[in-house]
Amino acid sequence: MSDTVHRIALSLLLIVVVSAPAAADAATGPNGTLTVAFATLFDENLNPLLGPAPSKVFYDVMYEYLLYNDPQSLKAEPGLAERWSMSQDGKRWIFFLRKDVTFSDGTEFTAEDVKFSIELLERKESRWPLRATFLRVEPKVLDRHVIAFDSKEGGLADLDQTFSSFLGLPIVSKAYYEKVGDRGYEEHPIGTGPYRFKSRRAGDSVSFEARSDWKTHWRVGAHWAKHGAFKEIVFRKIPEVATRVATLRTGQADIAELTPEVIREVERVKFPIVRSPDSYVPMVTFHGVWLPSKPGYDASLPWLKKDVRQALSLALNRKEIGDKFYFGTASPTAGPHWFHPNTLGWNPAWKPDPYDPARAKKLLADAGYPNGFTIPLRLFTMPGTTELPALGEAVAGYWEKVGVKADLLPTEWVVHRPDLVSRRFKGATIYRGFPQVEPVTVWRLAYHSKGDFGEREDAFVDSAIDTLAATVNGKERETLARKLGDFLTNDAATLPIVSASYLYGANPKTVKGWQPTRGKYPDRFEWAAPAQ
Amino acid sequence: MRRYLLSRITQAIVTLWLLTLVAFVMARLTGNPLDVLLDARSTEEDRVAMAQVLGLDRPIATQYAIYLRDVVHGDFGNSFKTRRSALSTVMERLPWTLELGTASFLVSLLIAVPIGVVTAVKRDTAIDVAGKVLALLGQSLPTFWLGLMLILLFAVTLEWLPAGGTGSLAHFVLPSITLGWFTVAGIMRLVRSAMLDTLGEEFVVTARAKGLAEPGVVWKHALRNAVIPPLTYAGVVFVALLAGAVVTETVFAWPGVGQLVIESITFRDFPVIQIIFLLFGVMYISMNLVVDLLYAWADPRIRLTEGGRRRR
Repeated sequence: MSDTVHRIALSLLLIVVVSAPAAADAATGPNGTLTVAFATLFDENLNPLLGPAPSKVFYDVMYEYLLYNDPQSLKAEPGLAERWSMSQDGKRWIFFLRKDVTFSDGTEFTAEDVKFSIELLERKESRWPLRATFLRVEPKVLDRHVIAFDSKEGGLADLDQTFSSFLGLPIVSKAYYEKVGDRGYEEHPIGTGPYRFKSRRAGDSVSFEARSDWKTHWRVGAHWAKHGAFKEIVFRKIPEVATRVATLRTGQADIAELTPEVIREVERVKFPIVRSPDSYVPMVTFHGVWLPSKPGYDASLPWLKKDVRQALSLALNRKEIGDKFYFGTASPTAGPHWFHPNTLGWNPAWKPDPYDPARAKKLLADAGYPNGFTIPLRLFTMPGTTELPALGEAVAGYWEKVGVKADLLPTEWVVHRPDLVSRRFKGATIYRGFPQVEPVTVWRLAYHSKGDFGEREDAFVDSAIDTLAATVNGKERETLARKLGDFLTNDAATLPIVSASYLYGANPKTVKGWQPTRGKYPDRFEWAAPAQ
Repeated sequence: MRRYLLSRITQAIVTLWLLTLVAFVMARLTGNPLDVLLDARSTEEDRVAMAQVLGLDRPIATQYAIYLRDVVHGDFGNSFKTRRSALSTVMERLPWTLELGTASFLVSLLIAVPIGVVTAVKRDTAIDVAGKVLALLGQSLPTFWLGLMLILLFAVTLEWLPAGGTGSLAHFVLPSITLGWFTVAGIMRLVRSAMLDTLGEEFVVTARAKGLAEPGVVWKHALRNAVIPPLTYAGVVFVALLAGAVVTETVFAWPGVGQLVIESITFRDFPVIQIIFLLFGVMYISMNLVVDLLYAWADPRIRLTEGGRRRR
């Protein structure tokens, strides 16, 4: 009997000893599948040439960037470039590249790949948002692992986000691209990231799997060995939010993109909500007011007056909007369009306008509108912010209480955009801004008299933006940017409403360690790990 | 018969040509693709460059002439969105819609035919009323709501079936019930009506007189004769199921042509919109052509009066 017990005990011990290394390996290496449910996979393109930046929601696990950003502060951090510098005249960036990086096909990453990647996105058929910005620079390979970007015109000091993961330049393999061509790269792309492309089902999903040489991967190797990672990541398109919640609850998805109205339901079943705080700021923008040189300029528009814009801001109950409309997921905020906390130009002294309808009415009366006026308010959705038209209706309700009637005009961004460029529209919109690492590029678009959407003809604003593009010194840049922000804030140029968050539900039993970058489409899935 | 055949095929070709024109014009009514394809930060120079790449810088008549020439040669162009062949873009989504359409069609028949038969046999009873209400519910309930309720009950609460997506036979159950139930009422009413006619026929009376069991009389003899009119209608229903799956595909994240339609319109993806328009047009034309030819084959009076010249 004792012999039998002895043998059983010995067998159990053997099983434990034999399986221990395997268990340890499973705990440290990639295993399991992470399924992420998104409302859309956008263009589903895998070749940066063929798609716009939003496709980054899934292919950032495969492509890498010269720079990365701290997920909270958004400050630039080393990426494929281990260091970088800007010339004193603000006209040349130099990037010193890592030497231990390979593409998933085993070939070495070099400066030629960087040059090829930027030239790819400069091509005529490129839909990359920063194509025009890339055209401002001329890439020069100085060494196998050193590349310079020289200015063709003006300063380049505003361009470091251009090379980061935020909007930036995904690096493709020159040798492989030249071998397979545009279509071949689209069908089977490769990058230097820790995951490699596995498969795609049109309209349904895109899958990636961990590289077999993950242990030596420069960015995640050590982290994965210690904390684990997923062997496979599947990004699935599930357009309807109620279905996304259902897939999260039934275990079909581990992470799901959510909207504010389903937050309560998800919290009720004890699934943690992952927020990307301060992701975006819904706001009121005014049009037709600041371009006297344009034909059709109408000096009689009420919202031409700063006090009227101020009154429209005081009429908004931002706290109520955050609590009721956004179900407590948003809070009142301040600052002009494209100015956000912890980024260039943000002034902590800016405070949200209080809800003060009495003062709003007085300001309107003093401005010559005691009985209010009518303002056209265009409503349209933008990717990731489908609630904007409904928010516009809420804004109209607040304005009505102070005597201002908003003429609601439901439309689409694609209809509004041409009017914006040609400055034909006279009224207001509900739009949104989101944090930018280096916002000078978008300030140029939004505020400069020569910007695509600029509605200002102001010497100070133009000069500030031009100077910022050529100023290298960090302190000088911050001072000037803040001065610009103060000017725009005091002028009530735009009316920020609340600071809202992109929201995700995550299954605590299957996934841990995932936190997306602030103000960015969801990312950093390569840092997520199985919970068990 | 040959003259009739030629006449109908000529009509089909003319209809197809008109369809290309309508598809071309309708696609362009969705707006300018450059507004969607290019980001807000793109410049006018970007827009001019992209217009050249997509061939949108040419006059509209020239664009149509090129489109027609290419279609005749079997070239449907490349998707503006994916830059891949528009035909293959549609073809890789079509099997999903065909599978869902077929499953929904079967669900529809499986519900509609028994209810139609039973309500005819139990005419003017509580069962008749209940059957009609059940069938009408499918047509009355919004597909969107029905789909979500089925997900909540069978996927979330009971955990019997997946909430959405594809991958196994189980994934077909909820979307095919949602889509198929909508068409139950129409088929059920036709079956019921045909059964009522058939159950009064002499051969049914004879069968009963010969002592055949009632289930055999109803399900074997009567149904076999009553099912022809509903099946003719069912052919059209099948194509309608394929073309009308947009909401169901969205609710259940089904990657079929229905979702592709929405995506293509949103992106102003002219080549894909045009090919989907043509595809469903060809399906309807083909279905009608086949039905017309079968009728002509079955009934000589049709080919004599519609062939263009009456034979003497």
